[in-house]
Amino acid sequence: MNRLLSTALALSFAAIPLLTGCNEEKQAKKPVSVLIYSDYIEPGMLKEFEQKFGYPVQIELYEAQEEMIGKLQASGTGMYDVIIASDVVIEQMIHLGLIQQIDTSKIPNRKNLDPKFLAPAFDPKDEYTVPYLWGTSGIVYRNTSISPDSVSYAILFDSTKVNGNFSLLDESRSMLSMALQSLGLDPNTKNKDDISRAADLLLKVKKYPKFIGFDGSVAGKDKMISKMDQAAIVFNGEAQIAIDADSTLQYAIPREGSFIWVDVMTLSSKAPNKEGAYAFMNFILDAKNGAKLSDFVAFGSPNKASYPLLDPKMAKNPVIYPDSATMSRLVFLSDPGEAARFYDEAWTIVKTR
Amino acid sequence: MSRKSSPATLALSYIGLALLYIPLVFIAVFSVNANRHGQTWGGFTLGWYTKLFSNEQVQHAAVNSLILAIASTIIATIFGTLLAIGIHRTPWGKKLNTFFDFSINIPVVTPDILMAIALVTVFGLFRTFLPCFEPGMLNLIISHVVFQISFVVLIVLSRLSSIRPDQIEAARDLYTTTTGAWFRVILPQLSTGIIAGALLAFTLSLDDFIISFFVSGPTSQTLPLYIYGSLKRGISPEIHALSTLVIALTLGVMLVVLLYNQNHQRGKKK
Amino acid sequence: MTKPPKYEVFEGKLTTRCRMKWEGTLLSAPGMLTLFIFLLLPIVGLIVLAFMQRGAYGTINWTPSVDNLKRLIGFSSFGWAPDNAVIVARSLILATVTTLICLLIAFPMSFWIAAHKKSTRALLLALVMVPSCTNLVIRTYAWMLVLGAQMPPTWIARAIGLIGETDSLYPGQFAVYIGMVSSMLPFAVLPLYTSVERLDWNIVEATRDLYASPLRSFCHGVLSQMKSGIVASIILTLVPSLGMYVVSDLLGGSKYMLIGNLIQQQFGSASDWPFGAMLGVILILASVLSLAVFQKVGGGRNYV
Repeated sequence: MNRLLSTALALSFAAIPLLTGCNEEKQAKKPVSVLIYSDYIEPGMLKEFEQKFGYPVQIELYEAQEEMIGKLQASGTGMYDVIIASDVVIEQMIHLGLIQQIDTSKIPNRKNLDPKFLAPAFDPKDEYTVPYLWGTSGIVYRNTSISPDSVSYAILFDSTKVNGNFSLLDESRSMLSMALQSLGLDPNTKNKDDISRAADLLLKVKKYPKFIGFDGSVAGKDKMISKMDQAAIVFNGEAQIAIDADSTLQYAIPREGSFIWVDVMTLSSKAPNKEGAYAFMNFILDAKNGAKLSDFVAFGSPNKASYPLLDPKMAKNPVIYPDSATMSRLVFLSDPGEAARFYDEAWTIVKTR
Repeated sequence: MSRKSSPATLALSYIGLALLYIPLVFIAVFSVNANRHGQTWGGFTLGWYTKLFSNEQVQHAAVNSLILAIASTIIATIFGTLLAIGIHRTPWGKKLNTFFDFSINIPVVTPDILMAIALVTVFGLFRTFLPCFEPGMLNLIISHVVFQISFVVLIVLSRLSSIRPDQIEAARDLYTTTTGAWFRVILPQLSTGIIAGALLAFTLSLDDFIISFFVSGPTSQTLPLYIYGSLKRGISPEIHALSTLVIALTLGVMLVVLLYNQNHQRGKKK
Repeated sequence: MTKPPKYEVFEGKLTTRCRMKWEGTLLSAPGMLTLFIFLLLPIVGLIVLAFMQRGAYGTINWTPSVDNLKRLIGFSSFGWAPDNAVIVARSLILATVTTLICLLIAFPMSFWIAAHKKSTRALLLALVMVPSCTNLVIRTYAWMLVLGAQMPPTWIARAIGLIGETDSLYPGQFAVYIGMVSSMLPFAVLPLYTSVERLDWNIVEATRDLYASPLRSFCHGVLSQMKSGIVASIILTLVPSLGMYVVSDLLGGSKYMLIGNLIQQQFGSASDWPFGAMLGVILILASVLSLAVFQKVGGGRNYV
């Protein structure tokens, strides 16, 4: 027993310095570190990038925006080059000093972008972000008698119209905004009373016997496929996966409107490999890669040059690429600034009572 | 000594085992189910296991998790046992004893996320002097040791308090030194407590997510981080295959250790 | 002239308190230093943070205020509401019931394990601990499917009237308890078992010799010896259960927030670190105080 203990001790003490990587291997080129949602990039593209440019790619995954921000705030940005983040948090990231300005001259492929996505509200001078993918949030439902254009939030929020089990989205800002829109209010409102009304609506819906719970977009999709739900609020990518699995499902942007989101590439404020980061961003914006990415992840590409290269089934799919009438119902969400506390407290109320 | 247990005891024990193992059985079944979503049976397949073995990221994460768990468990067990012995035998005053109790309890009651924030702040501070404290394996090991120590101390201390203190006196009557008395008389009796503490520490480290998330860096992804990532995107049966392998491996290791112990004991008796 | 050192007998050896304390310091140093530097000191920092405010965009506004305390008691922007108290109460109830059920099952289980011969005991103990090596969320997902609408457990529950005809066990409160007990059981069994293993059956025999009924014999002979084990088992089950929210979210439909959810929210979507720090610090304080009371009741520092 003693000998075992002492050998174990010796081994572990010997092993630790090796593991901390205090002695670093010399590599041909510095790696590019990318912080990204899981399953959000085609693995083949990474290998292609590595072969073409010689930078090894290190991927780190995260699942929730705010956790990612919390982590960056706490442990610093010096480990990452490219950070893929959602538009809602960009203002916050700029204020917290987590990202730095991008030298757009180093990304010539920016000319490929659809002008619709340039100069957005959260980055009016396109200094900090480069669009990556975009998507919408809406209702996926199993009811062939209702066409997507006539769907309203009522099929979930009106107890007389609910025809089966349903789930709502377990994201505070997204769900509250959709509730606001269903009431005809501004989803980016900073008004305490409006937010309170949205919370009350959700509390009312929570009590319906057919409401089975708050779920993330993927969990909602799973419940739709397993027929546990007849309707759920999900993002369009998940809706597409559900429709592929069950063709009786349909996806709709409600009449009262919903929100559109854009995920963007940003340059970390302490990026160790800026050259690699620019090469990566440029590579993503290449027309062929934009199409490959969109086809793989089933979300919309902001790259105009990619449109002709998309899988035709995807390009014509109104779930991924809605028509202009539907697009007009979609709103971008912005950071509520001082009103953030109202949203948080409202969400706590929704989840407590 | 083998006694018969009453039927009520047996019934509840089997219920307990069932509660523990029903999910594991299902996980194993999912891992060979050709149907991706697990609701219906799609036929037996080992395909998910082959997919798993060609997935580099998972292997990297698994290796990281293992190294982390083993290293942190060893360190935490040693530090924790020493600390327990130090607390137990030393006549600290009342105030110091209360301070020790308080400090040991803190990691047990602190919510994971607060511990994560606390740790990350310290590392951030240290990072300004020593570059070794970049988010990575060293930070991870330290973080895990911090919460493991308490559990080891709690279990070892309890075991210590039940060992009769006059045994050391008796050992000294037989002309051993203090260290001799401790190593040859007390520690062997303590061994079940130490091993129990180590087991607990090991399991806690393997499954930790929140602390690992905040403290890790891109090169030190652990298994729980990878699994949590895939959960939001929908569990692929590869994860089930992975979990089944973990269960099989842990069971296997425990069996080996037990058999080794058995032979060891038998050898000693002779 | 300084006082001569007072010699006392410790562990059969004649030595001074001073020397014992020196040895004690050496022994405790590695563990305590680690705890001190990496946890205790930062927690002091967190206490300071608890009294700060959230700035716009989630930065920290370093102006002290008792705003967070007020918010904790219930004074939110929408007026006073007992929401936080409800969250705490809900978490306490879930944790307590889980602990009770775990004890109910762990108690006979530890006796059952102790009834086998030595080599089998270790194997059984290992069997109990192994499930905890699997990821908690994966296990909970397995329960989600086991307790689904087309599975035997739901049919049985419907038959005995536990749930309605069209409902399923998952998602629901019953499912949450099954999930919680399933994950906390090993932590309840371990300390109880180490206690049972060391039972001096002679004492129990002695109570019988003194004409005690089986019940009294059990209470005074067995339970009194296991006091510290029971306390440890309760601590190791209750405290983690208080902070757990994943099982409740996954098996209960994520409809109700627990303490863990609330704290997580502050470091996540709310980006309100000061309020999160306040919540956490109060939770730690309350837990440590109750632990201290509990351990005193359980007979001093004899945990297991």
